[in-house]
Amino acid sequence: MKRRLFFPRVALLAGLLLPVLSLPAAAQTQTAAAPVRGGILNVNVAPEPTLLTSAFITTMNIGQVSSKVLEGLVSYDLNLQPVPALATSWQVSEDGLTVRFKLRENVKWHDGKDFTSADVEYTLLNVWKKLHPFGRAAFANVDKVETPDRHTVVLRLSSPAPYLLNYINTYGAQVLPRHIYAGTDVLTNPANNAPVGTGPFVFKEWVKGSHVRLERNPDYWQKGQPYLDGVVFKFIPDAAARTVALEAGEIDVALGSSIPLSNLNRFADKSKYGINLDDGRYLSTIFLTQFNVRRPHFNDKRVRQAFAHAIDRNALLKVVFLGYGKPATGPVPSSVVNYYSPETRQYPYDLKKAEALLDEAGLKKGADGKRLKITLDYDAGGGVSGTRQAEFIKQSLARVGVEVELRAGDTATYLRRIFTDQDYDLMVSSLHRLPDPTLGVQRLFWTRNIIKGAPWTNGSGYSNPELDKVMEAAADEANPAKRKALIKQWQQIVQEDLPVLDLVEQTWVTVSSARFHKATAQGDGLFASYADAWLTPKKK
Amino acid sequence: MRGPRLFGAFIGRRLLRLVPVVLGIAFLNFLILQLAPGDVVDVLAGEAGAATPEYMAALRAQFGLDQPLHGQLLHYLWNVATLDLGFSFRHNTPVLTLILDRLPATLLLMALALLIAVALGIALGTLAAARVHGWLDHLISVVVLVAYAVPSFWLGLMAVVLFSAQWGWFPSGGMVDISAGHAGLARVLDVAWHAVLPACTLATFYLAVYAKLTRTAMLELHGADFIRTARAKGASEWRVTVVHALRNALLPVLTMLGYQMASLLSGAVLVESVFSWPGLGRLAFESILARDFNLLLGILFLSSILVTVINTVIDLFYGLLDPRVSVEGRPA
Amino acid sequence: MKAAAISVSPLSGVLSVGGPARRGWAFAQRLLRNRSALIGLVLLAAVLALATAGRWLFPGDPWEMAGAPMLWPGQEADHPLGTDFMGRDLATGLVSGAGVSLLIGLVSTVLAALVGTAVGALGGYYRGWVDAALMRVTEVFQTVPKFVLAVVLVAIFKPSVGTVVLAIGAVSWPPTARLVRSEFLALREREFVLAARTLGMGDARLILTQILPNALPPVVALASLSVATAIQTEASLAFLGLGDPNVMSWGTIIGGGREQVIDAWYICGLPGAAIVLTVLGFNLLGEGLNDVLNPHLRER
Repeated sequence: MKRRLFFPRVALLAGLLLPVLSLPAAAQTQTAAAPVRGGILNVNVAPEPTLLTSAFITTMNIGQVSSKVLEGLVSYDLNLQPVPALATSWQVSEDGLTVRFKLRENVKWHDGKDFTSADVEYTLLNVWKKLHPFGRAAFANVDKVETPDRHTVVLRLSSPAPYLLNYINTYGAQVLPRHIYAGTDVLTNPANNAPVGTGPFVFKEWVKGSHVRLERNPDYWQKGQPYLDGVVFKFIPDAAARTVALEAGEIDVALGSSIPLSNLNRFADKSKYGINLDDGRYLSTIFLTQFNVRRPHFNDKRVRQAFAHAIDRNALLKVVFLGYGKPATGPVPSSVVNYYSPETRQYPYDLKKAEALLDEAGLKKGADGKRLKITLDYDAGGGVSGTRQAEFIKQSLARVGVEVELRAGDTATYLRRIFTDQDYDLMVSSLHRLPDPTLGVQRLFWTRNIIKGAPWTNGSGYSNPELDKVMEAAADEANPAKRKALIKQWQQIVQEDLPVLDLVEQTWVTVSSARFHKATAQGDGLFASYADAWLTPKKK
Repeated sequence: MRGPRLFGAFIGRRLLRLVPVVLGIAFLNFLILQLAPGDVVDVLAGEAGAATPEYMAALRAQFGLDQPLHGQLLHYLWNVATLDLGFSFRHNTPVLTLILDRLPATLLLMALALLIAVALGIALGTLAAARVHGWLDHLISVVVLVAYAVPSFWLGLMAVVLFSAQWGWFPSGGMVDISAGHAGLARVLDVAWHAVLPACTLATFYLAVYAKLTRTAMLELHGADFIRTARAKGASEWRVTVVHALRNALLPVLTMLGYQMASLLSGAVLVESVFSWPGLGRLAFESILARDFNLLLGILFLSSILVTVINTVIDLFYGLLDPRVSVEGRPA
Repeated sequence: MKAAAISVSPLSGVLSVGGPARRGWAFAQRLLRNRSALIGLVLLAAVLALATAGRWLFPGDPWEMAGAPMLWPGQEADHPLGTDFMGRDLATGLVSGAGVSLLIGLVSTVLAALVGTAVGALGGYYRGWVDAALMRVTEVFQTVPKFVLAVVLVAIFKPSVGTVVLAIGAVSWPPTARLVRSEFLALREREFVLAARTLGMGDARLILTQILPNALPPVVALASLSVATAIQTEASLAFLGLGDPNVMSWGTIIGGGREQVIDAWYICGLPGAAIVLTVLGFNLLGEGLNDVLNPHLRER
């Protein structure tokens, strides 16, 4: 029986070499400079998180803060391959039904207790599997969790789960201390606001509306790390004020596109600032427009394809995203190198083709030049960028005679209208696709995921039994080559039917001062623990 | 003022007037949030990234959102009556804690803004009245008119651009310099430094109001009896202006102050948003977007108490300033 | 607020002789002779010209991404006032926004005036428990922070021109109600009311034909000031992202340019200046109206 083994040493070496190889790395990943001990790092995260643990919630900003205190089993490098964190090695059996993790030894929680396999067992069964929105899917096949000793965890699966190893970092599967959470209501446990973890930084205080303060963990499992004395997360709600703060040195790092894209030209000077475009690779976010296929005019494939021809992805990328990103070619982003396939039907910008298709579908131009009047819903609670995206779509469609009425709503109204009332024509949103299509993409197209009342499910109402079969087979397929073929077929079907227009692969931009350095670049840099980060002292 | 018993009765009466107002606010709040599409569970589920309908139903049961309407209303009214402001499910913290954490910041901002507005406003108004129809009067009138017309959020933005981004005189936002970790006097000065721009922005509109009021009041009083008496007694111009005239001109200013407490909190929403000031105004705004009903009601409840308390205090001052006016006598 | 400074002044006290036309002309003359009102009217005429003739000069769709983004005013002849982040022409935006802001300001003020007058008239005329109940309702609306309530109403229902107008109207009526109430309280004791009642005139006719016309002048002055506040409130709502996404108002432009305020501050600066001038115009007009209609409160 051939065993597939993952060699942690190779992975680590690869992780260290990668920045040196041909990747679009940013200034601060140069490992040539030697780490400097000391200093407090000021980081901006927007908006302010509501909790400080990601074990059961996927909001990005919570992950950015909690990842410094609480850790996961692995982290991910620039190619989205796993790198050891709390797990030092792992093996998947040939039939894919057993996954064995070797855990790191001599790791302590911040309150002094030992980290053991019991913590992983508890969190998996009670938190990830029961409460985490994606964990529920990722760990659904886990029948049993065995802990033969204090540093080994064995998962017994009912059927193969090839996506599992793609979802066990601190963002997807954050390990919680069993001795604090067992027997309590996990969701209302006060430790959610004052986390106790194994990470390089210990939680000190959270002044709501202002900041979160973390201090160095002197007993961190990596000797010599962290280099920083502490990290302070500042919450600055006004976007322009963040730019001013970074320029004034009041913050050192601004994560997750919290600096408005239009202000990035102020930070072009490489001797003073660094711009990192890789931190959000793990999320693989795509901006999309979704049709409500229940509506009669959107039931016809030709209408959806016409819309695809009418929207100029390159112009959208340039005007709204200022070039930060790539045009998307399908539901699986190009950063997911294992499964992405470009061999799908594409719809180049062609107004004539669009109009021809609309005519063919029976939507002819009326006397006023209008073919169709529809509404477009977007989440106005997300700030100016959401509005701009919606306005661009509106303008594009106006050129082929489709009149669009924009409907702004705050998050609650928007979600209610689309997923509960199912009362909309078009909607726009940005959705994380994650490194595995089964976890992040299937939810958009699966018939069984059309759930009234539950947000971020299959909101379009698209149901294709053939696609369902392909996706379900891919979820179960342990053989990588076969799985890749299935997912390619998946992408081809979606691009032919187009219930969703995948428009732009978004880049999450991190801007930092040139004083900020990090030893290894990560694909999930937004959720890096910063154990290997340092600040060069200010020049006097 | 006629004796402590009357005083006590007066306070009691005023506080009693608070009850229907608070009930009205609770009812209004409840009504609006029942009509609103989406609830706090929608927001929580949306933020979490996904949720099953069973999970959402369980949350709704836990929060009591699936009870019949009248049951929910009575429950809320009872909570208000027992001063139990409830729990914010989104922040996983009691509402009272959230509010008390942010209350000092807002109070500080409002107090500073009022101080600046009243002091500068009265000064400008007095100056204008003293040099009436002169070039100084006209200049001040123009400045006051523009100050009254400028939208506060726009003024705040322009102030950040000029004083913070361009000249670097003041910080661009926040209340303290967290990394510096000041304590004691240094911290007080740090907070004061951060408060300058937001307080001045908030004060601008009210400054105009008080300047105009003071000028009008001072001019009206010029021919008044008690002024002539004071002058006849040989009092200096300065004494006449400041001690006698000003004391009476303060009455309309105080009247206005009472009315504007509610609007100060409103103005704080915008100013706190532009300057990232960690106060209640922004919290109220965020709670609306998050359908955090408990939190919103708590903030509105608190603001209504604040407004009533301040109005009561002003009525008392009224009695002190003008002995002719009885404690109940402030014009409606 | 000006409510405290305005007091009772029946129309018959201000304009003594002549028929309606003559009285109207005399009133207009007095108004134009008042310096505040004159300047106010000039400013408003300019804004109105911007909204009408300006539209003729810059007719395009303000949402159209017509030019290169972030052009400074004067940088290109095609876009005399520059463009914003998406390449939309600011001059077109300003003139089209003028119409929107004026419309919203005026309609919401009329709404608030109607509601406030109704509440104040009923309370002031009937007194007793009717007045007590209406006063409590008024107090509730006055104690709640006005802008917060407006944000609540707009954020929760669909942000559109309709909801914005309704929301602003719903929060702005208390000062009018208080004013009308104090007018009615005083006027109902006057001789002409007692005379009408002895003649057997019904309540409704009495309120509408006798008392109300005399109570209206201060309401008109207050309304002018309220329009100014309504325009500012609308701009604030649009700034926070709660305006109608299909309609471009000045506040929308400011809100959209908020992130660029450091480099391209003119995107926020120009519409802000326009708001200041419009609000100034309404304020001056309101002051002028106040002077003319309430002579014994004049400053000189």
